[in-house]
Amino acid sequence: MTQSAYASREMFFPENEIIVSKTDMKGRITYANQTFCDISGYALRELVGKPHSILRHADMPRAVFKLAWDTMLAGREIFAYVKNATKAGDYYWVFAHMTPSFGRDGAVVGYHSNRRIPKRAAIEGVIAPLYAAVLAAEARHKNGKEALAAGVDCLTRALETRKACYEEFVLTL
Amino acid sequence: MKNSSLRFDRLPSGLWRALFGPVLGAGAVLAGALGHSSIGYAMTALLAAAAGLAWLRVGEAMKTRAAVAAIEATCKRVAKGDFEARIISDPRNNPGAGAEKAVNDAIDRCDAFVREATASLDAVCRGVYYRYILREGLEGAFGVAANAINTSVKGHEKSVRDARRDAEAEKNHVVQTIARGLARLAAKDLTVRLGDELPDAYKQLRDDFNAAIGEMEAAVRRVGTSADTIANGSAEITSASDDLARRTERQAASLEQSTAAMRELGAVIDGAANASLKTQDNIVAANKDAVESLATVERTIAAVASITESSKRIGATIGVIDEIAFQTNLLALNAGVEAARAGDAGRGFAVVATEVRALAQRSAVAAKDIKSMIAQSAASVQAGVESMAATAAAFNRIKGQIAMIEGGIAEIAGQALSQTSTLKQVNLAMADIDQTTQQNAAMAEQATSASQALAQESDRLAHMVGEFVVLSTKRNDAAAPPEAAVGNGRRRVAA
Repeated sequence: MTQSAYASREMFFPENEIIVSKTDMKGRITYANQTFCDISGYALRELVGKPHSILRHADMPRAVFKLAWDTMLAGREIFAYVKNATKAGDYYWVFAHMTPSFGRDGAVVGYHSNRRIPKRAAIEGVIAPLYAAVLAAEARHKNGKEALAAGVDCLTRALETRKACYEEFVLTL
Repeated sequence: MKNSSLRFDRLPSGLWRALFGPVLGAGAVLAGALGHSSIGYAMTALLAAAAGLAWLRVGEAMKTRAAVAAIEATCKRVAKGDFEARIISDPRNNPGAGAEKAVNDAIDRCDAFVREATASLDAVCRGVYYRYILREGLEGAFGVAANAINTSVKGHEKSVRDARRDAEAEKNHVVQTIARGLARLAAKDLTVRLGDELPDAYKQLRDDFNAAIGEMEAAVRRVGTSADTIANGSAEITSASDDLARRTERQAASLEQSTAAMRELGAVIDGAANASLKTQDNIVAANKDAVESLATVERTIAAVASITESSKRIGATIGVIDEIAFQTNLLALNAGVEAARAGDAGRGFAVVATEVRALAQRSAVAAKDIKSMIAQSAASVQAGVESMAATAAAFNRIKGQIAMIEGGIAEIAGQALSQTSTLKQVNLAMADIDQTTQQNAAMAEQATSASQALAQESDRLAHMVGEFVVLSTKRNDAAAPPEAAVGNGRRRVAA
């Protein structure tokens, strides 16, 4: 995905809104709220059944998504700053809270994401440089697996230098 | 996809009932489910407006009814706590789209609140207090409830932090108190005891600590006493094993002398045996000589007897000659007489007769000489015969004595052999004694060095034990605080 031909603009959504979406067990979108549709520029019918990667922005390291999926597959919630691409080629930052959805019997029935306005200072001061570094680590490898491993390694070491677990790190930014 | 089942796929049968029944029902359900009347009423109003539009156009009314049915079904699921329920519809040409979005939004907020509250309180259960409910998107009562929970979490965090701090402080106090005690213990002061400075919860620890050190102190005291005993004992052992070593050395020296004496004795006995053997040979030779000599003597006696016989026969012959001489003399006398008678003619004859008579006289003298010589010779022979007999008797006696000497010598030789064999046994026994003595010497040496090592070790032990400070008296000082005991009851364990 390249935004080079288009002057990419950052889009914003109202402070008290939440961008909501749900996916099935395979990560295909089953629900997106109006705010989601409004900011991404997709109609609901364009989203339902599609994978979330439809919003994937080229600046996002793969390691972050791997961490998110690994955490949710383990049944836990995860927070992440995510840069998403709109249908028009613009972008918007969110502070995503991703959780498994549990059915009546306690089994995971799908995944849920609430996205809120991110902290601007956290993006500019920490997240954007961190993601750039992880992305650069991934870019050094052509092989997809190696690239992902390098990205995860870079992210892990960045967390180690902060002496915090990821959850505490991301929640206390 | 559960949500897709709530689409516009059923047509109404009773329009009024279908329109207003679910509208009001859904409003009420929604209001009840969300617990916030303002949202419920707003939704009811929205649905009422949608219903009004449906009244204008029947087709639109049918779509509206379907939307309302979807809303009803969704709200029923939500009412049962199923926050996965959403209405998924195409907003194009859908009179209920606004209401559906509003319902979805309401459920989204409820869903968000529940997820946030659950996650925050789950985190508290894990001891994580930075997982506050994110306030964005939670308005009104949601916000109030979120604030209440966040405040409660903060308060909980504070009380937990305070409790931890207090516990930490108490722990530090306890650790420091015990550390001070252990430091004195490390400095080998066994009079240290913990007093009331520990909180009541640690009474057992204090008692155990004090009891343990009390035991240690008593043990060190006992070890000190034992070290003294060992030192005395090892000194005695050293002295005894020194004595033993000296005696063993003397014994070894004596044994060596005895061995040398036995060797000499053996040589002497061997010499005697050899000499007796040689003597036996000589005696045999002497016996042989004696026997031969006896035979010679006997042969000589026989020869002498033969001489005697010859002498007798010579004597007889001489008698005949003497008789002949006498007769011849007589004849010569007669011849002279006759010659004288014959006158001149007989003068020649008379001369011969005189000559014959002289010869006869000379023969008689010679015979007489021979007779005397033979008698002399016979006497000598007789003396010789007697001497020979005495010699033979002497030789016979010598033979008997030689036989006796031979027996004696044989006995000596036998005894010498027997002595040699006995001496060999004695030598073996002495070699055995020698080996045992050497082993004893080695053992005495080992015992000496072991007891010296023991003495050194017991010295070191006494020295080490001496570095510990203990109370010199037992009961009274042990109960008193340690500081009070400094200077009077305390002492280093006697080394």
